[in-house]
Amino acid sequence: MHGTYASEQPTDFQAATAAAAAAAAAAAASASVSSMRTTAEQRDMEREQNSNDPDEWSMSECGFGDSEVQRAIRGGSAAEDITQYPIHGWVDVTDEFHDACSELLPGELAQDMLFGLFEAMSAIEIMDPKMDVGMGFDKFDLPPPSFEAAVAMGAIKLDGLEPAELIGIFDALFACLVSWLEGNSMDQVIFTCLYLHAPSQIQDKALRVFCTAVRNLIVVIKNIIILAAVNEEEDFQLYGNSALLAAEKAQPSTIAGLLKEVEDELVRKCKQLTSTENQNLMAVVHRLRFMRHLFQAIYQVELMPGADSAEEAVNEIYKNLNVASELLPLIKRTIDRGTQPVEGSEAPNPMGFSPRIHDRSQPPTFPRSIKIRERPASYQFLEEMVARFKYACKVIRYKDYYSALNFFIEYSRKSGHCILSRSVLQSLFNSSILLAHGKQSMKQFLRHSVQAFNSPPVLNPKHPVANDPKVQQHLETFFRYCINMKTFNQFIRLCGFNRARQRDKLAHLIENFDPLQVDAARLDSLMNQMANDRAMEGNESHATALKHSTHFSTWVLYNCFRAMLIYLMSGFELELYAVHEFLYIYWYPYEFLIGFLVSALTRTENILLAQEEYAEHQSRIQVNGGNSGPGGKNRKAAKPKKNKKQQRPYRQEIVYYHALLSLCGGMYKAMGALTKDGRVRLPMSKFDNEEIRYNRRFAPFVPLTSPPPVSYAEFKNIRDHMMLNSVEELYSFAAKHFDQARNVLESIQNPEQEILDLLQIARTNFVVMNVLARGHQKELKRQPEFDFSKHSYFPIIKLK
Amino acid sequence: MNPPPPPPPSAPSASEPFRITTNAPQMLDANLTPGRRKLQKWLGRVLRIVITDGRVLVGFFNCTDRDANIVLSMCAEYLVEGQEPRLLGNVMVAKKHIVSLNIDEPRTSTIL
Repeated sequence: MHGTYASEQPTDFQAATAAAAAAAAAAAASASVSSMRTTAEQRDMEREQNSNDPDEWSMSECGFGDSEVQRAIRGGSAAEDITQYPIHGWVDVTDEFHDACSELLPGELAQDMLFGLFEAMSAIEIMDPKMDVGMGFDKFDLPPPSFEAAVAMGAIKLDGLEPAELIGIFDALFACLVSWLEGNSMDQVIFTCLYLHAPSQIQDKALRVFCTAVRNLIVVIKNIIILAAVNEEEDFQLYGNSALLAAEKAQPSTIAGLLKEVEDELVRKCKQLTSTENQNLMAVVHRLRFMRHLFQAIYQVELMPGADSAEEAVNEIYKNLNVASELLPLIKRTIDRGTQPVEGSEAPNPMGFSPRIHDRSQPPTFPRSIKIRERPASYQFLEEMVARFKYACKVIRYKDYYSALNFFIEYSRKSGHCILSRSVLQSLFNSSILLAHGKQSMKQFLRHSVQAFNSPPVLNPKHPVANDPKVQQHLETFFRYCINMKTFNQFIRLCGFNRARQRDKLAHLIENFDPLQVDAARLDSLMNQMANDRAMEGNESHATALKHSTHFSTWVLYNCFRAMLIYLMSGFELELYAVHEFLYIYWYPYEFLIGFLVSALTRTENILLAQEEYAEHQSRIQVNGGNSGPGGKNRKAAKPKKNKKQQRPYRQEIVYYHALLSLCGGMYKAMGALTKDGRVRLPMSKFDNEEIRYNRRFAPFVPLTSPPPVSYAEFKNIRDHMMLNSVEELYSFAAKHFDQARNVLESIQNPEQEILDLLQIARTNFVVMNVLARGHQKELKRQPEFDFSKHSYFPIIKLK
Repeated sequence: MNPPPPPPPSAPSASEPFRITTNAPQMLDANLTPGRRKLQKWLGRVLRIVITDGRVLVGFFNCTDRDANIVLSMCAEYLVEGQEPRLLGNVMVAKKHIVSLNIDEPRTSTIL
């Protein structure tokens, strides 16, 4: 190819050089980058010789023919400065260029050798308002004023602000704060407020203190978010203009006092005023007070690890949040008393804001077009955020892993969108287990959690076996391993990430469960072995305590199954699955996963029951005066005799899983029926490979030994077997499952909203399946609509 | 400009569904149409684009397509030419925003 290239050169090329180039090119064709460069150089030399002005050619041509140099330039080094161009002078090629482009085919690119997907994806689209900051700049515009300039021009007042002006600025600042928490850059929202650039130069006390509070609040919020570390770039911009922040030192501990002082002064002043003026000033006071309590609440979250008791600290936080939430309705009612943003202006308030001040100092690949929230919406956000914080405070009630994890999963579902709420929860939880368990908090917490989950006797400090040094040693090793693997902490922390990122991280988490499962199983079998040893020694009570131990592996497996189920179902929430994939996604939990969960929980309940009975039996024997008969060991014999008031701590969850099982079964069979009925759009077979898709969907489960991965072939067998039934039969099977789900869900007392929603889904789908089974719309092979609006895991099937 | 009759190799073949014209030395194609050859020559050179709102963008010409959407790398944005520019990195300019195009090259060079 290179040879032909050289021979096709225009004839005014010197024949000799062309031949040389051809030879060099031929050598280069099979060689590496360095020889490619030689080719390029050769080519440049040709041109150089050909050109009237060799020096000029070498400067422009060699620079760009040479891939090494190109790489250096595009890598962003200062090797070449675009601003020094043009070197030769501009030649207008507008028409020529367009004509040349029109020769390209649709989809064809003319691209530089270093142009790739990265360059394509990172390019800013000029004149797109979301990406192009430079848009709308008029070259005759003045640069946006800085603080000093604005003061010099008299554009901003530093003293003697009217209450309306203060309300306007405060409301605008809250709006900026909210916009920042929604993921915008600090510079482009909060620091558009010029007052924040130099609070100490403000003479008006209320404004100065408020601005100082905002600046300290920024620092505190940043700390909480950094420590919680559940932020992603799309949630939150950590980096802002730290130079602006650093100018005045943060002293968060003084803020509450300062705010209180100003409030008191203003309240005193109020008393001497007429009622309308008074009301305006009170609106200012309310905002200062709201700021004080919000600030205190958030600041106390940061301080919590140093508190004496978690309960007390959280009580304090809760009190502040309560006052803050009581103030919000008052503030919302007085929004219109403040100065309002000018229509069509980007500034959130007429005075004190310079919206584009940082635009041109931002890195170009930055999110650019910023819309600061409107005031009512901002207060709405704050109101909801305060409510979320209050909800997060409840986390300290959950003192074991099982209930804490449930709380986190629930919290994420409800408050997953707000980065600060998520970070506050992490922070409160970590501090509370630190305060509850001291130095080795996580290990103690996990020990406590296993005990709370299925109370293995070896973890019961009152049980004599717990003092066995050998047992202790094994336990120590296991828990240390749990801590080192971090799997359990990770699961909780992971629930703090935004919903979309959780799925990705769950995949890794599931992988990490495998070594833990192995270790837990080893621990259990060691306990059983020791039970035999102790029995040989005649130590009956130790032997019984150690025997049949499946505590630890059950605990690990249960948590692993939950992660798997959340992973699989999160795909529905994130709308990752195509309709024709629903079948195997619902099949797996139906056939395996939920069954595993139910059996893990049932086993746990049975263990708990057996232990209770054994303990009672023992005490009865002691009362009866010895006679350690075989009844003590025989659990099953003892069971029916016992009273029915036995606690079944996991009953509710088991019932819930039964409902899920029926729903998954219903969906699985419904998808089977719809597919067989020709109502599911399938991908064109040319572009499709179901096995690959199946394997990708279940890829995170492959590294696990338990449950063993299910191969595509196995799935296919099971599905083919199901598909042998007629379409009508399949529809009625599905209907039966939905009916079962309905029965189970109806049996739940005091159902939560989620249960009611699931109930509605089960009922509706039951009807739809029956209708289809009876041959409704038999000729219309349209794909039904799958409406996930009621529940993120299960759709209502709608026939159009 | 008087373009010669449409070139024969324009139909995408099965083995080459997406054509690419590039200046990469190992992929040089001898049978380029004049327009493609021109584009190939300009790739990697410095291009100046005046856009509809009066701004001037100067950057290395990286990529274009049939619709004359242009990607520039290491682009500098001038509100007023001659004044301090702002460096933008990679930018994409759609055809509808292009007013004029200039390439940095010696006026005399009409070869290739």
